[in-house]
Order: sequence, then structure tokens, then C-alpha cells
Amino acid sequence: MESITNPLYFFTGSSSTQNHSSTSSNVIRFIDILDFFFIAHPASGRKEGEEHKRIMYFHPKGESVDRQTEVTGFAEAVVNFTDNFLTSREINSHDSDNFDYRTVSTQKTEHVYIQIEDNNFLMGVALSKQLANVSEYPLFQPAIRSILCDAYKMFRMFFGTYSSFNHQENDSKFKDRLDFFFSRSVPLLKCHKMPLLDHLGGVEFLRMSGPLYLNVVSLINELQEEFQQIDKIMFLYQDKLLYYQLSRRDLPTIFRYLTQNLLPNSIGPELEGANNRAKGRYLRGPIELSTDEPLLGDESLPVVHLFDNQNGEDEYLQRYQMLVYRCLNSTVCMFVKYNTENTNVSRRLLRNIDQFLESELSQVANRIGEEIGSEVSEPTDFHYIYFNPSSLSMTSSLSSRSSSSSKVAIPPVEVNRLVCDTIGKFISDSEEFGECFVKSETDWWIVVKKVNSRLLVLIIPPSSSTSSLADIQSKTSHIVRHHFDAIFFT
Amino acid sequence: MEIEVPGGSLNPGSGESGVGESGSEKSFSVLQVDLADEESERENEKYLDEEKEEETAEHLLERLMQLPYQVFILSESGRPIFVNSGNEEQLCSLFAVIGIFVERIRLWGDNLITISSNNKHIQFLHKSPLIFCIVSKYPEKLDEQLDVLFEQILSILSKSQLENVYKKKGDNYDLRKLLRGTDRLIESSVSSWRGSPISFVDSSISVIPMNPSDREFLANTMAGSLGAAKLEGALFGIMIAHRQIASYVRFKKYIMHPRDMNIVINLVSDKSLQLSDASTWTPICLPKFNDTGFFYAYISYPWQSQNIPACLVLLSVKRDHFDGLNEVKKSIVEKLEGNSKFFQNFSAAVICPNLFNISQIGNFNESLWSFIYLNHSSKQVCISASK
Amino acid sequence: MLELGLKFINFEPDRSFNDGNITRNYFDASSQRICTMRNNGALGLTSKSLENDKITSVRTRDRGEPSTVKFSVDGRLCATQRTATSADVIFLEKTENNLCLEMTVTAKSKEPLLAVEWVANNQLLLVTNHSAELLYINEDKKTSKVLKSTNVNAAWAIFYAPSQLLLIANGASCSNLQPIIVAHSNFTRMKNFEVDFGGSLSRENFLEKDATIATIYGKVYVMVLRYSVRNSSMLDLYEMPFDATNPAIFKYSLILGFNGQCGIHVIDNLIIVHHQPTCKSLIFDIQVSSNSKSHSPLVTTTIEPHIQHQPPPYLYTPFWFTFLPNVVIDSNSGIMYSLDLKNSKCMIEISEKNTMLEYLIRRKNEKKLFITSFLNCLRARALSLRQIRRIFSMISKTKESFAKNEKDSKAPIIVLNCEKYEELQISQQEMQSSILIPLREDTSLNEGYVANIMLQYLRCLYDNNVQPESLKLSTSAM
Repeated sequence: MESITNPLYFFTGSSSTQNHSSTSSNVIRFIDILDFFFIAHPASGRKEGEEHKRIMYFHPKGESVDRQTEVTGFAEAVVNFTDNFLTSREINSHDSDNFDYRTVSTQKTEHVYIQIEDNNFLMGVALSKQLANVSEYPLFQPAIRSILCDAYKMFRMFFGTYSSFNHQENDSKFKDRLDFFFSRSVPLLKCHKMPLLDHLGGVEFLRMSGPLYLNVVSLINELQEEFQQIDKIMFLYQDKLLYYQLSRRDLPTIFRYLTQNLLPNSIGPELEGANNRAKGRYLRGPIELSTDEPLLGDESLPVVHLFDNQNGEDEYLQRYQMLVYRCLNSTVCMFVKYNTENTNVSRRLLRNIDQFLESELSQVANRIGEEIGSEVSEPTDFHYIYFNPSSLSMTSSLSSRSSSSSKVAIPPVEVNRLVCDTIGKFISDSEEFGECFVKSETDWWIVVKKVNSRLLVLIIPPSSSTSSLADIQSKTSHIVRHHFDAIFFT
Repeated sequence: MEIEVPGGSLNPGSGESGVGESGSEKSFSVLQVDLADEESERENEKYLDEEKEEETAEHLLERLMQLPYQVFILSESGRPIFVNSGNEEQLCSLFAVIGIFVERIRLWGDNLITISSNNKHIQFLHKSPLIFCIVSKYPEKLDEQLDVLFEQILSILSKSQLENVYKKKGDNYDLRKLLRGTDRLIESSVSSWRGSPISFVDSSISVIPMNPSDREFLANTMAGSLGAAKLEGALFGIMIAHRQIASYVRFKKYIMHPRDMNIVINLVSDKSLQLSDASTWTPICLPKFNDTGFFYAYISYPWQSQNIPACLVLLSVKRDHFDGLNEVKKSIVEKLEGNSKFFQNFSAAVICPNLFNISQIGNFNESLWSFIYLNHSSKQVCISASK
Repeated sequence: MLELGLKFINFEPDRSFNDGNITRNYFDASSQRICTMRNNGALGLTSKSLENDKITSVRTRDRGEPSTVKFSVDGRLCATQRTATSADVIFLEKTENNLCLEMTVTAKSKEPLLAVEWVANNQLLLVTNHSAELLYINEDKKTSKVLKSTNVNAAWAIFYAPSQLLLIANGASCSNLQPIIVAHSNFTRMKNFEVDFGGSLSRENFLEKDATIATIYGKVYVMVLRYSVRNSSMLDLYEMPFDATNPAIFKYSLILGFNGQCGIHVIDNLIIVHHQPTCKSLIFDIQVSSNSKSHSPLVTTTIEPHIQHQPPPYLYTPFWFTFLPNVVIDSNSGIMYSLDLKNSKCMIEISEKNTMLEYLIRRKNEKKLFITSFLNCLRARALSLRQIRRIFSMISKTKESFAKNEKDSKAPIIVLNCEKYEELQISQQEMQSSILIPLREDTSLNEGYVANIMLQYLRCLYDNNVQPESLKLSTSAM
């Protein structure tokens, strides 16, 4: 019998509610501005009178079936209507993760629909403009689309593609899963007040010196040599990424899961630290490692779906068991291919890995801790976003975790909106180079530079020293020289 | 931005529409005109030879997609009125869907504004009793384009006419009966707007380069002749060439909104009016001035035979001013031709307009490529040639 | 792996002739000399050594059978005990009528002498049950003078000449050891300590023969043979501190696996225990990592004679006597052998490659053998990356990191000296030319594998705070 991994650990209700008002934080809750959210399977609702059967999931639950049918029907009609105007080459190829999408803008709302899995499924969301105004959140459609896609990808990572569920008979199992997952995850979704961060979807890397990085790489090499079953691996320190070996398509999703769900929920006991353990431990799975009983039920390891490509062919989804080992603020996340015939990860393997990592990882983690601790970074007098699309590295002073990297208050919502508009209208995705200077009506300067596809956005508050274009250009080169020298060159 | 060539069917017919009588109002207010319908005779008015056979919806759609943009006008009940490829009847279902979308959102207590996808943007405008929709690759200024389109329709029908006809004839009324022959006009209102620098700034007009002294002479001449005619109700005189204003004179206290100006420009630029030296007298509604009534436009191309494409337009609220305005035109032409120096410059400026040069604003910078100048008070915009 | 007799010396074995002439041999561990006396010196006293060719051959008066014979460092004086309470100093270079001149010294208290040892060329140490006295011997005047004396409580005493360490046993079962440094004409007491020798009803006291002192890896150890009724014997090592304030600590326990007597050697920082009944020699390396204090033998082997000895001698015979550090004396055949390590055999004897390589690193003068073996193991992919890194780390320390380990800010004053130990170090240049470049040039090896090795090396350099010299890392391998 297939052991059903206990899904409870994926989204235990996080108690991290934000007690302070939304103005002082960098994020808002998605659900605060949400009008509705749905997942539809158009093929299930083709018959006359049975259109409501296309609805796979709908939020809010209290909405009447009629309204749900109307909303999903409208979305389906929009997709079909617009198909008339799209030439075949404008429709994206389906093997990448760039989903076809439609956006609808009305006086009161913004909708985004995305087409999933060969356009067999439709996911959509509508956000209220008024609620967004209240929350001081600028609606930026590419960001909403990214959030929607990310929600889908997170589901896919845990449960596989929508198509992998059997839709022949009724869809009840599929619906149950969707309900289970999205009812928990949607209330937890957060959006950055700077929507560009959600749209870029990068991952925060930790910068460190060469020798220390060499330690990390060497550790990973040794680990993988000794335990050949480990297929993919990620190394994090605190909540930043150091090293990864997995498909780039999976990286943002698994990173987000680790840093927003798994780690925050597991660190609690560490911080309270009754027994100050320098020992490492597994975050999921069995606690008792010394026996050799099989891993079942609560003790079994979570299974995720990740992309794999053997022999350089196209990527396909594969199931992996996930081992998360944590020691002294560093986390090593290992993935082992999962076959249902035999559970390949045994307690013995966990024991051996534990033995290895306990000594090696604590050494490296100590060194990292020393280096990080000795670094003093002064808060800047501007805000910034840096993104490198080829490595997916993204750092910003406006993200939810970097509350102290800038001494400037977060920009007002118009400035955020202006940044998004500038990027959307003046910087093209396909161009590798670009530059734009924009001054807002409230005298904030926005500088966007794109060099070799790397993007740097500077948001500079009003000041007497930056009133003219020449001023801002010299300040920009000053900033780039001092803060972004190693990673961004003009 | 690409300069787009207006596509669609050519309409060899004249721009006449039926004119009817109605009771007159106060002297300077524009006349309410009731348009009576005519039963349709569709023989030569719409299609070129190749399009005479019934086109399948698929073919039509394909052809439609070749155009840089697609414009749909329909009634609130979903009846097709206009599509810029012509042959709107074949696309009935498409029109119906557009109507349903707008209606559905309205039922939810909201207004549909746009639908967009990766490379296509669809903008909607609901001005009861009509619905406008434009599909374009570029998302910029689509709302303004629909406004321009709406005002174009108004300029043909006037608002009160438009609303009344549906009230009287019911929701299913086919407005095309009233709009017969105006397809090209409708088409060019949008296409010219998209390709012109006036689109960069909301509500502006474009000016043809001329010597200031020449322009002054022209304006004075026009003002003098118009004033001397003492025609009460003749409010505006405009000299137009290449869709740009050479000069514009107006009766005191009355100002023409740039949008209305562009409607006039659109009207006179229709090729059918340029065929002969004859003058045209046609009603036109200027929505920004007064959307319920009509002006009458005296349009003539005095020097057509000399290949000088300048057009003189005189606008009056009184229907019977044709002869008077004709005299005014003769007077203006005479005076202009009388000043040979002026006339030479003028002809040159009009036949082959010089573009503004970047050197005219000084040699600032090696990197200066081109400039756009907008004068806020007069709403005039001019664009330079590129370096 | 153990080779007997690279160096050897013949001597007259012990004999009692029919004509009443007696030949006796004495071995002085401190000077590593064997002394043959015929008729108690009357017919001749010959001393030889494996270290040098100096052979002393003199005659003395026959004044009785000596119990011990000790030579001074320069070999000019010889002290011998013919009575229990006195020691005779024989001036080997002063003769009269072909007989060496002598003088007699005693302890002040005239008690029986437990130990007579030369501390310096002219300084003689006398230990009795209650005192230890340091005498100055004036060669010219043939007089002695007490330089220093101290009270002790001694059941027995042994002297370790390389560190000038006198170890005195006292206490209820003689298991309390009091170390005293005899240097600079002074007695410096160190902290005394208890040892466990496996006392039982049948074995009440700790015996002198079960105690040995040796220098291993730069530290001085007292090795105690601990008997056990049920289990086999163990050789316990107590590590001596360098200062006078801390006592010795019990550090290691070597599992011998047999009961009964054995011979002990310390060669190149390895402890070798020979068991005669089974003709086996156990080699222990205390630096092999172990989870507990107990160590099993690294190698169990049999001694092989050097080929120059034809026919091959009998081994592990009852006539064999073993002396530290590496002396084997066959009293029957009259040959004194050196015992040496043949590390080239270690590849066969030690099966785990990383252990074998680490073993070689710890040995003296085996750089070439180590490099060859290491390169072969790398070529054969016989080591894991982790093991490779450990090896790199061992051979890439800087002098600074050594010094850092040694100097503590508040180090107590050093009283005990011994030979320093240095691990094999390989410079970056050597590493490049002998290992890294050959690896890169070997086209049969996977590039990624070679790159990983180089990364491990680089990591070790950084981890040990060594500045990497410009390593020619080819970018393609990365």
C-alpha cells in the first residue's frame, strides 16, 4: 500500500501573524486583496446543464454555485475569444513553464487567468482594486501572474501535475487534494509591496568569500561521493541559498517552501534552545535513528516532484524523497529518487548521513557563522533590487527579510507602481541592455539599469543633492561602484 | 512606433449621407437633425470585386489578423456595426461575444476595461448605446483611440440622434443604415490617429511648418474675408494640408477643441473630396463643442488642379450659408493668390512640407536624435525629423 | 615489514669455559653499548655499539663479578657495580700496567644502590632506597664530589637518558611513580602519579621490568605492562607533561592479545611488541584515530632477517633479549642486531589505503614512498574525497600552524625535554610537480575527478591558513 505522506507538515498553521500595521512591513497578505480564486477543468463542464462540473476549486467557499459557474465560464470564454486573435507563433510552447495567460481589467478588479498543462486547466484570480488601495499595494499584472503560477508550481511539487490525477470518473480525489492544499496555502500567501520582487521570482543567495565557498563545494562533493543515492542537493545558511544542484525550474519553488514554511516552523524550538544542540538533526522524518524499522506514517519522509533530465533530454517530473538536515543555522536539503516498490531511504542511510554531516557540516557552518558575523554592512540610503536571470540570484532591500538593509522607509505606493510601470513599458525582456531614469511627481528617482541581462533597480528618496539628471547619474555610478561592484559592471 | 497604413475596404462612394429637415433652434446653436433611414441598397457601396463572394468567417478572421489592429463597433445588444476589415456580418458571433462580455461584467456591477494576453491587448469602451472594442499589439493609448472612434461616430450622427434612434426603433436596430458610406471615415479616424504625433499627447493638433509671416498673412486674410462676410453663425475657418493645420481662425469666444479639429481634418482628408475643384457642403457634428447638434462644413480644395493639396474649411451653424461661404472662399483665394510671394512660399510649404529640423532648437548634443514640442496653451504639437 | 640486522655486531657470547674462564655480557641501555667481560675484566673488557665503530678494549683488575656496567656518554668512563653498596668508576683511558685505573664511590648513607647512571660525562647518579645523589667525578684527581642530593623513597628506579628522566617507584605496591629530572646539576621533581599495573593476589607489586619509558611523537610516555587474570595483557601508556605542575595522564591502552612476557621496541614512533611463543610482532601506532583509548595493532607481522645474514638466523628464540629503542641481542650466537622498519611493505600489510598513506606521512624519511603511493592511489581512485582531503590537510600545515599549536599564552615552564616530532610536509611546489600535474596529464582520468582533487587541495590550504601559490588550475578542468 502506498504510504501517504502526512501532508500536515507542509503547512502547519503559521502563527506568524503580523501584529503591526501593513504600512510598516514589506508584504501584505494576498488574501486581503483577493476577490476570488478558482481552478477549472473546462473539459469536465462541456455538457449543457453540467457546466458547474468544470469547477475544481473555488475560493471563497461561500460563493454560490451559480456565481462560481459564471466566473469560470467567463474566464473560459475570454480565453477562447482571445485565441481568435493570437497567431500560432504567439502561443507559447508548452514544455516550458511560461504559461499562456489572459488578464482582464475592469473598473473595480484585475483578473489574471493562466492556462495549465496543455491548456487543459484554467487557474484564475481576481483582485479588488479598492482593497489593494487600502493595503497600499500597486496591482501589477505580471506579479499577480507570477504569484498564481507559483501557487500552481507549489502544488505540483507536492502532488504532481493536475493531469496526473485520474479524471475519468469523478474528480473527487483531485478536488479534495486541491481543496486541502489551496485552502491552507492561499491564506498564507504573501505579496511584496514592491510587486517586481514577486514577478522576478529570484532567490536570495548568500555572498561569501572564495575559500569559504570552496568549503561548501568540497563538502557537497564529499557527501555525494559517499552517498551516491543523493540525486539533488541544496545548501542554505539561515534563509539564504549557497549552492544548489537541481533544475532551475524547481529552484524558486522549493526555496520558497523551505524559507517560508519549513524552516520558520522548525526553528522555533531551536531559538528557545533549551538544549543548545550543536548536533545536527533532520527536520522531517524519524527522530529515532538507531533502530532499523521501516519509515512509515508520521515518520516517513516527504515526497516532492522535481524536474529531472537524464542524458540531457527534456525535463520530466520525477518523485523524490526529501531529507532536510539542519545544523548550526545551515540546512542541507537532499533529494533521493523515490520508487514505490522499495523505499530507498532507510534509517541506516539517515544514520550514516547524520554521522557524516554532524562533523563536517558543523565545521563548515561554524566557519560561515564566523565570517557572516564579522561582516558589518551599513544600511544604505537608497533602496535597490538586483536580479540575475541566469543564476536566479535576487537581492533587495525591499524584500520581506531585509528590513534593516536600508535606512530609508519603504517607498510610497505610487513609487512602487512607477517602478513596475517603468519596467513593464520601457525595459524589454528580450533585450540584454537597457537604461532608464524616471523622476516621480514626489521627487523620488527610479533608476533602472540592465547590463548583460542583469537588472539593477535603484529607488532613491528625494533629497537636495539629487535634483537633476546629472546628479542622479553621478549618484548612480557611485552606488554601483560601492555596493554592486563585484556583481554588476557598467 | 510603426506607421500603420489604414487597411480595409476602399469606399468609392461619396461621403454623402442623407440630410433631413428639422425644426430650427436658436440662431447660434447647432441644428438638431433627424436622419431618416433609407432602405438598404447595398450594390456598389461596400465591396471590391474580390470581396463580392461570401467570405467564410475563418478567412475573414485570418485576413483580420493581418491588420496591425482590429476595431469592432457594435450595439449594446451585440449587433455588429463596424469592423475595420469590412464584412462585419460574417463575424456575428464574435460581436456577440464582445457584447456578452461587456454585459456580464456590467451585471456584476462593474465595467470591463481591457483583456490582454502576451502580445495582444483588447480595450473596451461602453458608451451607451454603443460598444467599442479595439484589438492591438501595443497597449498604449487604446482608450484614447476608442474615444476618438466614438467621437467620430458622434460627428456623423450626433448624440441625440444616436440615442433616439434606438429608443424609437428598438435594440435590434441596425445602425449601419445610418452609417452607410462612412466606413472609410471611421477607419481613417483611428488609423490616422495611431500614426500621427498627436497621439503622443492627449488632445492635440499638428501644425504644418510655415514662415511666421506667411502664416500671419494667411490668418489675417482668412479672418478678414470671413469677418467681412458678416455671416452670423459662421464660426470657424481652417486651412488644412496633409492632415496638418496651416492656419485657423475663429469667431470670438468660440474655441474649437483639438479633438473636434481632428474630426474635421479626418473628414476633409477623405480622398473622395479631393477629386475636383468643386466644393462640398456637409453636416458634421463636433462632439466636444456640442454633441447634440450639427455644424455645416464648407469644404473646398481651391488649388486641386495645380496639385496644391491645401483645403479650406469654413464652418457655420446655419444650413443656408453655402452661398455666402462660397463667396468668402473666393475672396480668400483671390487675396492669397494676389500675394505672389506668399503664394509661392505657401505652395512650397504645402506641396512638400519641410519637417522641423533638430538644428532649429540649437546644436545641443551629438546624441540628440529627434524632438517633440508641445505647446500646452494652444495644444499644438510638432515633431522633428530624425537626425 | 620488520627487518632484523641491517646493522649488527658480533660479540663473544656468555660462556663458562672448562678452564674456569667466564665470559659475561652486559648491555647498557643508556649508552646503547654492549660490554663483554672475560673473567670480570681481567682478561678483557670490550664495549661495542651499533651506533658507531668505537670499540673499547681494555683490561681491569678482577674484583668480582659486576651486576651492572654503565658507560659515560663519551665512553671514557665506565661505572660498574661489583658490590651492592658501591660503584666502581673505571677510567678506561688511564692505564697502569695495562690495567685501567679505578675509583670507588658510594652513597652517603652507604645503602645499597638501586641505580647507577651516567647523567653527563663526569656526573654519576646514585640512587638508594632513600636518597638520590649526583656525584662529580674528577678524572685527574680521581676524586668524587657530591654535587646535589635529594631524599627519595624508592622501591626501584629507572633512568631514561634521552630526557635525563629518573623514574622512582614507591608506594604500597610500588605503583606510585615519582619523576625527577636530573639536569644542570639539579634535581627537579615533577608531579608524581599512580599507575594501574593489574595488581592481584599473585602480583602484589609493580615491577621494574614491567615499566619502560620512550619518546613517541614528541612526547614522553611511561609504558606499563598491565596484567589481567581473565583477559590478555595491555600495555598502558601514560603521557608525561613537560612541566612540573601537572601529573602524567593515562592516554592509551594497547591491546596485546596475549599473556606473558614480551619484548618492546619503539621504532620511528611506533610501538612494537614481540611475542615469542607465537613468533609474532604487533605494531601499534597511537596516532591512528580511535574512538576510545584502546588501540588494536595496526599490523601484525613477523620479523624477517636481512638477506646479508646467511644462513638466516633463528628468530624469536629464548636467547633473544630486546632493548629499547630497536636492539635485539642474540646471546647465544653473540650477535647484536638493529631492528628496522621496511615501510615499503606497508602497502601489503595495511589494507585500507587511507590508513596506509597516513601511516607513511607519520614516518621519517619516506616522502618519496609516500608520494608514489599517494599518486597510485589517486590514479586508482582508491580514496574517497574526504580521505583525500584529510591527507592533504596532514601534509599542508605551515610552520605557523605548528607553532600555534605549541605555544600557549600561559605555558608553564618546561622541565622535560625530548626529541621533537615533525610530520611529513610537502610544499606546494612539490605537490604540483609530483602529484597534481601528473594527474592532470593522465588522460585516462575523468576530468571532473581531477578537478575535485584540486579543489580539495585548495580547500586544505585555505583551511590551514596557507596562502596558495599560483596553482596552475586549468579552467577547462573546472
